[in-house]
Amino acid sequence: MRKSKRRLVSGIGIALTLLPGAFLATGCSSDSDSRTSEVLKGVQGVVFIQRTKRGGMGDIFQYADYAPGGNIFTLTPPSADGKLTNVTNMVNGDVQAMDLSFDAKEIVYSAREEGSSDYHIYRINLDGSNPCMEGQRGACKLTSGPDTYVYPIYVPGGRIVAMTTRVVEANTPQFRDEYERGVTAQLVSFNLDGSDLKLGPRNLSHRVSPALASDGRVLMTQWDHLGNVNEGNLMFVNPDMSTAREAYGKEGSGITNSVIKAREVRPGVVVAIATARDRTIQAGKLISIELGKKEADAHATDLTPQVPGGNEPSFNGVGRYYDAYPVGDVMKPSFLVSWADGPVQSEILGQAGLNPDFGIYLFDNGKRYPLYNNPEMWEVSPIAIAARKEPPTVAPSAKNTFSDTNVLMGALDVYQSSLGAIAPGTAKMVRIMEGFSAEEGTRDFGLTMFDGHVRLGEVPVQPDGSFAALVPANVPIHQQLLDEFGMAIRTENVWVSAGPGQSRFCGGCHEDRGATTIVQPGVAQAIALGPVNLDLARALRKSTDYSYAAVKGVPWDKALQPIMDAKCVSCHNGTPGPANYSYTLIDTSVMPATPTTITFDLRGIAAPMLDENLSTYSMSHLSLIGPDRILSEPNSPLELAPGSAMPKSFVTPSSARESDLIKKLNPVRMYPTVDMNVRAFNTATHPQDVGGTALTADEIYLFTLMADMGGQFISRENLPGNGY
Amino acid sequence: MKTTMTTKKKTVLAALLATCLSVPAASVWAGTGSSLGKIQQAVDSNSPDAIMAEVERAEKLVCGGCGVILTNLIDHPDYRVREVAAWWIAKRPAMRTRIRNLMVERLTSANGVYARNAADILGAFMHPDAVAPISAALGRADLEPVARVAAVNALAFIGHKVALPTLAAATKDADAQVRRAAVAAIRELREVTVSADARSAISDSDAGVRLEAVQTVGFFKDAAARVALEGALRDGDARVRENAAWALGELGDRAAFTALAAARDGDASVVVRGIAAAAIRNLK
Repeated sequence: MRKSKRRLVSGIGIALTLLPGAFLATGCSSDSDSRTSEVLKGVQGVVFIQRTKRGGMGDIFQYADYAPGGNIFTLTPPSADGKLTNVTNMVNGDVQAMDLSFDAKEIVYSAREEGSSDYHIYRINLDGSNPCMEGQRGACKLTSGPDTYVYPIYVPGGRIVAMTTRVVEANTPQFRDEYERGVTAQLVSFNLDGSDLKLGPRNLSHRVSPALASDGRVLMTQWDHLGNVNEGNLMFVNPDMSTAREAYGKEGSGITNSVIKAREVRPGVVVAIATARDRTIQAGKLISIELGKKEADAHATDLTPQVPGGNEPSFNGVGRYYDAYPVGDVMKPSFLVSWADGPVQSEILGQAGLNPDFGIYLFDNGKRYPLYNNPEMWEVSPIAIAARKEPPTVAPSAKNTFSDTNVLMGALDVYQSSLGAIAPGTAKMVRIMEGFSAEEGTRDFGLTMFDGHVRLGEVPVQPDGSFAALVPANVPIHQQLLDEFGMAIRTENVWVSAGPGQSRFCGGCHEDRGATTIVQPGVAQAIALGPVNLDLARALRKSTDYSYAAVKGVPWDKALQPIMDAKCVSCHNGTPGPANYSYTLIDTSVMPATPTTITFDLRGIAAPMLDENLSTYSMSHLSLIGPDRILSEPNSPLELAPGSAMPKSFVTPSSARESDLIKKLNPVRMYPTVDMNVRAFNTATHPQDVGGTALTADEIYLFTLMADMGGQFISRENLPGNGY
Repeated sequence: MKTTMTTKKKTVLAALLATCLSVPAASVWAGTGSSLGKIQQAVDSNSPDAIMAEVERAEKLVCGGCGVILTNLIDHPDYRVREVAAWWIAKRPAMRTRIRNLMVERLTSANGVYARNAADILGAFMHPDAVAPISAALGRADLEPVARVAAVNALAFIGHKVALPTLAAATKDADAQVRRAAVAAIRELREVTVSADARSAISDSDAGVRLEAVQTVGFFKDAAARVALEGALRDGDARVRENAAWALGELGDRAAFTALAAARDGDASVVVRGIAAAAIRNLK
């Protein structure tokens, strides 16, 4: 680096306050220097990543945005007069993330070198020597092969935890998030020399930005993406990638859509970046989170109230924070932060042809004291160079006693839930479903927001409220609690997964963090009886027919349309009248605005064009799933024509019980045995009420299953030739 | 603190901010909240990041006027923008069918960029109905290399095993970039668990092809590739040697110990020596 580009800014002599819309000169250079020296007393230096400025990294889960020119630097001592040293000396490389070892002598980092197409993990001593080979200079490389490895951290016991695109399940593609479309990053761990690499169980979407807690567990951000849930939340996981637990943000409880780059300040308290998922260059508010004993007790304090929590542009003088590292008194911490001024928002900056300029600051008592900024580059991820205590090694999680290859999934008592009271005795079964996404060869699942679902099966809830099942390892699982009619009365709106031989047994999902869930024979009836085995080879995880016993996915055209053709379309055939209401939409996004009249129709014919947006979904899919969902889209250019009937959707995705279609069909009792004379709702049953042919119990269940799983048009059965 | 922002850019930025901040904050929820105007504004920004974010937000937006804008993005110079446009179009099946047919026609174009873009869009649709026309295009001798590489990458993106014969043939293409892409693409095919063509490519004349080949056989843990991988430990290219060592560790065959130990103890590259040492610890 050329000396002339360095901007050692203490001489500027201003500390930027966070008061609304103001720059206040609150100190002179000596004030800044003295405060910085005071807070960083005992810190020998700061190590940070320098990256080429960019604007293409708005998405918080983006981990592989490459721009050559990155390196890792130390600033020693951490002051304006400190010596700047390039540790990595890469040419045309890029550094994505790093961590400092417990003894503060070396770093582990993810970098993409010139000529490579992937990020890999490296270690290097802070003095530039090789920690793997005595007497050698330069980094030692820990990972190779055709996958990307990012976000490495040291964990106790001589291991490293990181994220990788490498897939844990042989001969299957890694998940691609259906929305963001990237190959997902998942947990991995390996020895300090790269050997003994182990891959963690998979989430359906990304996992990013791990950090180590003082109890030896790993805190990370997980993209929870199931239906309308679409947020980045904090999770704890053991270093062996087992025992995932919610930490902060689930069920929409976070103060922003997503929370990333959490770091522990002291036990039970973390600092993190709170932001929207997109367009914020992975930067946002600084927040302090008190985790509490339960996820429900966790709460956050906004340390930077002027910084926007959404993806709107930030003001000059306010800017956004990229990350934070706690320093000083743990009870009254200061933070080394990376911050950029002005509108840190990719759209606005893109229009101006600019990129944000992140630099390193000390954030202390609401003020920022500049430490280092090269205006031509980003400086991010500052870490104080100081030894820290190595946390205890978390013992490997106990294997379940039922299977070395499957996951034991269940609950001690389904009625104990922070998700709301459930009347005793109403829960009869738990439906267990596998998730999949774009990686199986589809860009689209239909008119709702739900990914692919496969019903693995249903497991009885025992009289004591327990249930237990063996499910495939490393597969994202969605669970629903069912009533006697086969309808969901509670939906766990996140994917969960675990590795071979592990357990995901609640009490565990919303329980006291300090509590230990011990699953032993005799503690629950479901365990005493033995778990129901729902493990199936991939090739068997699709419907062989659409009976209750065999149905896995519910492809609209194959499973539902034949029923509608046989029992519904004699009346619901698109002919305007009492059985088929009509409504007219006007698309104001085209000139002249074009009206389209749509009539309720349960046939499998293509839906009207509406400028290609809806067609080739069937009319039945549009009629049952679509209309009011389309109109209720914020900023929709569609308007209802004057005098038109109000369109209505008859399926509420993920809730058969709230779906008017299911109320009309009036499900029969399914459990413990099918009883056609016992119905779910105290209303007339359709189509018998108009002289139509009754649907069978299995047929009603198919519609119920479709609604509970999300109302998709496409299922795995529509993707022939994949062998799944 | 010094800034490098020019006065002109500052003025533009201030104007944009004034415009932007006059509207309410956008919803943080993904998949909803876009509009024709917002998409147009993002396109006007020419920020790929902003365009991607706004198009993603229009995932389910029924908007006839948006179709024209998204169709124009098919020829955006940035692949990420072309890809997100294809994603949006793929969610509108009739539009996907129309654009698919248009792109298949474009594959025959003498214009390499047009053909490349067509391959990119067809790949991003991820529909196996594009495998046959892409394969036919790859069979044409006059298809420009840039389009040939894109066509191979599209088959990787689609990931359907019916593309295997085409990719196998492409591993022997005259153009090294096409061969590299083909050897890498084979490991993206669902249900394909081994590739003799990738194994053969370990002895390709191009180092880039050899690198992809050792990575692919390592990915497959192809036991039959052990001897070829041991040979690759003596490759002239350090990255090939490094990845050959990694691949042998993936195979885990103890018979590779001697070759790996020689690399660990004697290779000129510190990286190769380190990866070989780790691979030895992975041998069974």
